[in-house]
Amino acid sequence: MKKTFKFIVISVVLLLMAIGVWWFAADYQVYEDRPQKSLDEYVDLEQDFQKLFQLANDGETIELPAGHFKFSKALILDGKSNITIKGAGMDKTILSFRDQKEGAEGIRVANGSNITLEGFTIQDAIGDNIKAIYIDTLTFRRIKTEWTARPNTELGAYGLYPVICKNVLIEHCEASRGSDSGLYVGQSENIIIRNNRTYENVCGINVENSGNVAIYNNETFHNTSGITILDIPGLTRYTENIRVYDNKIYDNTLFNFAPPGNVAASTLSGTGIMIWAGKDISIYNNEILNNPFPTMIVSFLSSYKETKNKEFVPIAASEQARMKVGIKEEASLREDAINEKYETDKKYNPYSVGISLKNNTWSFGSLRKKIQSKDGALMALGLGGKNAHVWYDGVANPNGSTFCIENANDIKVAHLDILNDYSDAVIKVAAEKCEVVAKVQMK
Amino acid sequence: MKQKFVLLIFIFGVITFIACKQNSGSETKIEPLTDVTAATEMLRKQSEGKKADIGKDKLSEYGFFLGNLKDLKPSEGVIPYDLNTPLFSDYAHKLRFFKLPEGETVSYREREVFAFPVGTYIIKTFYYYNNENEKQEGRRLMETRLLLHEADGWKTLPSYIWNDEQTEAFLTVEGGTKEVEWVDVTGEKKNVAYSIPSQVLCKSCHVKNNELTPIGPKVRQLNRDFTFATGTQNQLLHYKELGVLTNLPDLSQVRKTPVWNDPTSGSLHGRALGYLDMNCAHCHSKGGPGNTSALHLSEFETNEFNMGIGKHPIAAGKGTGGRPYDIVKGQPEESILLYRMQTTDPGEMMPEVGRKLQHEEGVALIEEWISKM
Repeated sequence: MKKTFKFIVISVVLLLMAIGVWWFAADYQVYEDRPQKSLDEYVDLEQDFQKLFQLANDGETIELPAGHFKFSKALILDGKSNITIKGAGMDKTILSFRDQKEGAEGIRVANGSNITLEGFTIQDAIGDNIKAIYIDTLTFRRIKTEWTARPNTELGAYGLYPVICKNVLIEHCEASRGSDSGLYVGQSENIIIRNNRTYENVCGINVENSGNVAIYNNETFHNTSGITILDIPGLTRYTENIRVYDNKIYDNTLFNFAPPGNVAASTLSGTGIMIWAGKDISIYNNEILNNPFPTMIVSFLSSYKETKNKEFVPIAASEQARMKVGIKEEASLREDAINEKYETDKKYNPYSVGISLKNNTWSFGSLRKKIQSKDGALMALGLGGKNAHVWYDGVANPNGSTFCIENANDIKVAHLDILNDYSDAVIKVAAEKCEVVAKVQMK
Repeated sequence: MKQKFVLLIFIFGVITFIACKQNSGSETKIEPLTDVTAATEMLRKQSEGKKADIGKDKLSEYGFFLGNLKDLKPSEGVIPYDLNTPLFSDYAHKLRFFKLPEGETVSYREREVFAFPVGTYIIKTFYYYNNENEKQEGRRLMETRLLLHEADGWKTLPSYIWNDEQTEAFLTVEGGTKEVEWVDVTGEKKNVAYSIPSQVLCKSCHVKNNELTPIGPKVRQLNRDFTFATGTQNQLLHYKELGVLTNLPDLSQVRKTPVWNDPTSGSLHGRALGYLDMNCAHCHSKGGPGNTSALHLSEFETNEFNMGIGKHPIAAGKGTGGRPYDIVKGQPEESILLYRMQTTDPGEMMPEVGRKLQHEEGVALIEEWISKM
């Protein structure tokens, strides 16, 4: 009798566990190493490729054959104009840098104008897959960039990495598993990022210190943060005039695997769109679904957490708050650094200003999604499990509005009051029309 | 009873398996084998008949050297120079010359690289002594690099790679790798797969404001003694006497970079900045490719933030080594700058090209400099 009872109890427990696992797993994203050919099956025609890139004359099209090719050094196109590098197709021409020994990126395009790269896949560069620097008029089309191992800090940083470029078009590309960003644009101007798919990166799409940027019709999912827009002091230009519309931004709950020390390592898992300083940013007509933090709007002053113990504390927090998590020294060091930056870069604006949100479709994701995003779970607990569309640090530009929400019905704003150690943190429904939501100033 | 338990556990396992299976990672389609012949043909057809637009096939054709080529004995008008603090290149030694067009001179400049006239060649040969302590045991010449100043700017010629017999060096557009071993000053055996840059790779360092430029021959680097065929003399004075350098002020007014490993030549700070200037500033300065990071490592940088002190990295990736700032005063082990000098992972290291080994002595200098900040 007793034995039967024990049996029933154990079976019920086991059954419940199984159902529990099923319930959780049904929504759980698992990230495995991608199936890979052995490197022996990749063909080594490196010298021919190198020669082709080097000897290309202005105005030519460099045609890459179909097949799997491996490289030990970076391929470089430098000082050329009107060049198209064209593969046989996204999944037909595959360039693998898994065995790379020299060079910090797979392909480097530098000091040129009117360069187009299209129709190939690039994998596993040791640093960044494709870097473009000092190029006027640059197009990436139907390029797939990926790292094939499961997400971890050892993966390369940027999939596509144009920096200090002008007139950049990125379209019909696919970017995954960058330990910083899948598609990145930095210190550049006049940029269109459209019709791309980015997934399993820390930042799906990342725009840094760039101006006149349109991001539309992209699908960005399974990243730590779907879209990140930020402005950092001390660089060659600032972030302004960004439009983000008609994108599908969903299920961004991947854990953060950026190497500590990088700005991206501070991104919260579960972020749909992150705005981290910058001016005149409009976000409209997007589907922002199943992200525990659909939008985050923060100032550079509340840059989060430090590297060592990976604690989650704003630098502007009080000494006491810092003591609590034992990062006193690092936080104060960081504060010094930030102060120094202001002295250095007088034109820099650390606030997110002129942010407008309009006509977006929102959802927050199931409890399971929030559990998957550890940060989401923590935040949800911290504010009594309540959801909010906009997560705002409460650090406002003393001279003007931070953001406004049009058609504000039911849009909830989590006002974190970071400068006062979250003491007045609340979630409230945003007021109708465009209104200055934030009034807290820095002390 | 036992069987029932086993059955239950089995069912549990199956459910778990199915649950996990349905969401496993996306599949990458594996294409059929590559058609090597077609691919090779396609690639070669495109470069067929193309040649690098400049450069003779063999080094000897230029007539830079007299007698036995490998002795690198300069011919008339080929003038040797050395630098106070050179770029580290995997412990290779460098023998440097410049050659002005006949009758031309170069004018003194306070800060920048000398404005050599059109037609100037800069000739640099990389070599290893077989034994650093017994130099008479001979040396192995690896490659000779040429910079040529043409009417529309400087050109990097492809590297000339020395043959194993050391009788000639041949132009090679795509560069290459050569194993080399030597005995270092401590008597330790060392070796490296020495990397010879492709022509285009030269530009990764030799570019400023989108123009090619030499890096080394600045007055502060040239202001030092050198043992010429005629005897030991300050290089600048020697050039002045030769009549090739004009407008040289009194030497007491001329800048001088300390010798990085000679404490009698300058302060720790001066030597460290000189070292960073030569090893980093060709990229890490305004107008250089490393400008994207706002980290400026020129000898003339005075802004602590731009020097990296308390500065966050911009796009370092795993090159941070998990550290928060480029330089943390007093804490070299917390400074990214030092980590990137120490690592030899091409995805993390600095400089990005040009070395495979750690420059242990250079690292020690920077380590000491940061620790004493």
